[in-house]
Amino acid sequence: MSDLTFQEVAALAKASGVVVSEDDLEEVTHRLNVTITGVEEFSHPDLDSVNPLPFRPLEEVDDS
Amino acid sequence: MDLSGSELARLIAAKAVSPLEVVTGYLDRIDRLDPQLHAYITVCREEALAGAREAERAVLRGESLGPLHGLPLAVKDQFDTAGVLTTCGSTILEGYVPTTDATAVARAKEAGAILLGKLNMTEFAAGMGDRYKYSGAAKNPWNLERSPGASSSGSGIAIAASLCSIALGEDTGGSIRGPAALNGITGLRPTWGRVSRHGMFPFSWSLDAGGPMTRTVEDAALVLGVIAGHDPKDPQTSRLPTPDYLHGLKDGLEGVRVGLLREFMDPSDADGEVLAAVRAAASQMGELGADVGEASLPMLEELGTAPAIISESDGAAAHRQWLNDRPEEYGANIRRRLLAASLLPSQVVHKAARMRALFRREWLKLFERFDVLISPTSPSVAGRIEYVEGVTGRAEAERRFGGGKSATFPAAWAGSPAMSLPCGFSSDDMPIGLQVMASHFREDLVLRVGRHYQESTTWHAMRPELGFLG
Repeated sequence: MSDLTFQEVAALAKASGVVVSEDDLEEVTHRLNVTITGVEEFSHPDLDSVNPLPFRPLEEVDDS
Repeated sequence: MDLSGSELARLIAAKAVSPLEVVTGYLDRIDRLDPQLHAYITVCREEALAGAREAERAVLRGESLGPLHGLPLAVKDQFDTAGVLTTCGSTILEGYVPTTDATAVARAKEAGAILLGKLNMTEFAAGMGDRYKYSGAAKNPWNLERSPGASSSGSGIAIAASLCSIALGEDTGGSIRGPAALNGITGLRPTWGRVSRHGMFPFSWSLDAGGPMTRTVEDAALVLGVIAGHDPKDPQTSRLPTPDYLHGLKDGLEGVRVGLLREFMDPSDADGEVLAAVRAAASQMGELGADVGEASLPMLEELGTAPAIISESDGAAAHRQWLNDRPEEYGANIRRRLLAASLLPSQVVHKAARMRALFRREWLKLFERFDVLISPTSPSVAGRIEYVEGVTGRAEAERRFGGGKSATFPAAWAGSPAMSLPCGFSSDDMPIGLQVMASHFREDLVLRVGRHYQESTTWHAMRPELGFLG
């Protein structure tokens, strides 16, 4: 995915109800682009089948 | 002042030391040293003296004493404390005085601890870059020009400089273990759900964990045994019984399988002195009877920004209202970090959550082969105190936020326990931290390995020379 522009990030913020000042916009844009591209390349055969639970269910822990 | 909390508790119970003398001694030391170190935001002088007098009366009356009876406790200013200012390091909470204690604080007090004060921290427990909002810059007692680490900065300083006996910190991705390593103390992040988060100001609901910061592993076991356990006020706390962590320390290391985590032993990522100290610690564990081998999890190299996506999107949700209403009260770094996280596409957050689930699965497989894993806590010793004014381009953003490998994040991401303890010093006399990690709810193993290592070394007994401060 190509990087988001300052204008696109400003529009995204407005649509999301997030107030981003002009002073903050440049760094917010760079941070957002770096963060998004930071997971683009990750792939794993089970990525789409695993449930995105943060932790094991407690009953599983009880059995361990 | 040089005694561990466990030693001090034994002397108080034996009437060999007066709780009032102990608290007075710590208050005097805070008066002399803290104007330069800035470990404290609030010192509870009168309350602590009153508590010490009552503790002394209880000893003299021969009452049954709690395990922390008479011990001066200081807590990160992220924990609610009844009747005491609680800022979380932010001016947004200036004037906030809770009416009740956080559960961890309440349990420590019930066990006899005396609240000495509230400890300095980076704003909202959100890492480095911005200036501290209270008390001035927190300084590393081993070298006042060096950083004490974040975000439980004051907790690390206060233990290292003997400004309290025992402390509480909070760890989202390394905020207990980082300052523990950089200040040369012991810091334990428990399993997520082992210690109640009630009354602890949140950054990331799925990562935050409160835990002890202490001089010794025995102290960490003592404090964890008090604060751990199910809390109806935090439904995510586990109902598993709390083990007797002190009793578990007695078992030796014979046959304990220790894995040195290869991905954090790369000379291109970490200082040679740090790696040498960690290798020496591994050898020492072998001498003590442990079965030491090499462990590896290649996925650690592939996580990119996924850990940050999880913690920061959680943080952005927690701060959403104040970010819109009071943005100028945040430091520029934390504000821009949370604003960017507020705008992450849901598909990206979802992918990071799936990556965490996959990672956890692979992480737990490692503990089929090893009882504990070890690594450096930090790839280098404490660096100079620095404030960052912001980034000016994509390349700089990539360098700073592009997802560098952190040794403290795996355990946090998996929700499993990890502890930092001292394992050496650099050639410029700064402490080096060793990290010991285990599977969920196996704090007993982490503590056992750490205790036996500490019993056979003297790194934890080293103290910074602070006489020049007063």
